[in-house]
Amino acid sequence: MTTPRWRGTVIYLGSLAAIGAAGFTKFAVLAPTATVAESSTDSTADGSSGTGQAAPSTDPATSTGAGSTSDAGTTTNDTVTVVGSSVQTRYGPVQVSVTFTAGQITDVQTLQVPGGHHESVQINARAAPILAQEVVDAQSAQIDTVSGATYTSEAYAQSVQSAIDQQG
Amino acid sequence: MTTTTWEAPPLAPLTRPRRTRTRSGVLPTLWLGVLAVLAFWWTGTTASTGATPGGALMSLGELAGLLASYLVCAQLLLIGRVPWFERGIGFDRLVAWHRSLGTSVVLLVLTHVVLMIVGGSLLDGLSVWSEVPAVLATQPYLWPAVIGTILFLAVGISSARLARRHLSYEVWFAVHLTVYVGIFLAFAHQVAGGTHFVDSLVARGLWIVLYAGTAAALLTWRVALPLLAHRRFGMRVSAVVPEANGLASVWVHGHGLSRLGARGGQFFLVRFLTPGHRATAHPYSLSMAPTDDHLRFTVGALGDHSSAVADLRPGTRVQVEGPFGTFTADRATSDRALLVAGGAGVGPVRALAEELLAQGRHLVVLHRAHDAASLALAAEFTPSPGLTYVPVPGRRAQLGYDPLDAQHLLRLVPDIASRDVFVCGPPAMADAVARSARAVGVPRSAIHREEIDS
Repeated sequence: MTTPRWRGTVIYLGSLAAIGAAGFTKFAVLAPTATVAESSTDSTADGSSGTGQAAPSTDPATSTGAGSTSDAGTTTNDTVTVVGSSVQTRYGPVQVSVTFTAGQITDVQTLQVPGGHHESVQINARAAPILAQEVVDAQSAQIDTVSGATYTSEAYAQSVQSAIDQQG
Repeated sequence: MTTTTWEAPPLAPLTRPRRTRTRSGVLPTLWLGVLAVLAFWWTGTTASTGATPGGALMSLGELAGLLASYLVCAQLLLIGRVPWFERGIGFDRLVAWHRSLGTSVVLLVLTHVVLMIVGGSLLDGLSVWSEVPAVLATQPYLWPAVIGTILFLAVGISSARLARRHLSYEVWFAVHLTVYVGIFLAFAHQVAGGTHFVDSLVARGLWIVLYAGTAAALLTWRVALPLLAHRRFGMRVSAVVPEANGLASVWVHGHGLSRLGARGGQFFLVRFLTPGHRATAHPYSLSMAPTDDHLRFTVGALGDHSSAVADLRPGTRVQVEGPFGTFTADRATSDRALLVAGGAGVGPVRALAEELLAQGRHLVVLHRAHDAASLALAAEFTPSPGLTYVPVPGRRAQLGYDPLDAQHLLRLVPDIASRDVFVCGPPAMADAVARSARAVGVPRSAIHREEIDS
């Protein structure tokens, strides 16, 4: 049996149309309502520091710059909390705040982690305390990645480093 | 009765035809799989991903990659000799679908690569040229995937019609085998780096099951069972008998061959284990209903190696895969049939006629050939009350007409409309007969065709 000549190409074009249609429905038709839901979850994540963040849906250039604009740390005695820059990963933004007491890192709070998927919430919930402890132990951003959360770990380290850089 | 190999019809009671080729669920299942992949992407993607153009492009690129990945498994299963597929669709149509999907897969892989690079460069705020080394440095298992993609492209290009014309079967086959390496290399970056897998154990599990299942199917039906059969049947060439012009019969001896369950009209992928033949498996049709210790293939001078069967020595070991094909007696819908054979198509028609006669059906066999000397196996169609044999030699140019057009077909077989029409021969001839038969009132469901092409 001879293969119909353009069937493979037709199937490909059909797939492209399906991909385009799926993307259009997901990103153009359903986007507005979903964005509202997204920003509401972010505001709860930000609650720990109360420092305003750039919304994750803004373009990467502004998000990365967010760290330098929001570096006004809150000071209590000699305790300083510095907000690190928001680091874009393939799965969403990661941002932390680092608390310095007398020049030592005493705490790291997670402000933003990618929470797009059901499972990623769990993974990041597991990873965040481990990463925070690693930073406190190492007193630097030189930390091991948590398995299963490679991206979060790398972005986490970057955000920590930016906070350390701001603190001087 | 007059020849040793032709058994006269034993006038067995007419058995009601059993239609095995009911509407198969194979292709709908494959399309359902596509929908499942779309649903998988849909549920794992948040609408905010599309808030930036880069995020949207990358997400669509991932969908293209997921579809390509799924279709690769589908493609492998199609040519995996899976019995359910073979019964439902038939080997030749499976190969045709495999080819078509191959084009789609290669194009989808390219689309995936382009969308990921362009989308990623927008997201990272890099130029396209600096994005490539950046993702290669950070994304897990991307280097192997790049090599895998190159292998995919090589397989795709070597399988394109234009390239196939210039490549020998062996070169093409060698390139084709590397696709397994390509698939292996491309797998890790999917589950380790794909946004839909990286943080979902369930998704990773499902994807691994899809690939492991495909691999298991291939190992079972393309490797383990053929090797077992090879040991068990111990097939060897017992004789090579020249037939008419350009045709020769290869007799293969083995043990317990009835366990193959082969039917007249079916074919095997046959590999002769001797230098010059070892690398090539050819689709050869049975030219008589198989016995417990003999198979016979009548082979035309088609392809690069078929014609060399004359050199085969008795005793040469033979490896077969099969049987394949749905051109069998149980597709008959009435007790009368017209069989049209052209060229090497006479082999399957001869085997099919034997079974149809054994079922007590009444047959007319039309045998087309360029000239009388090319009417291979003609002596085996011993006329009997149940069998009318009509040789139709001569090129159309010499005859001045096409003996298989509607008008002449009707003159040769006046009651054609009440018969099943089985046609086996070159695609153009099969087309012509199918067209003529439709024109003189044979229902589509009663036309059964098998193409023998180079």
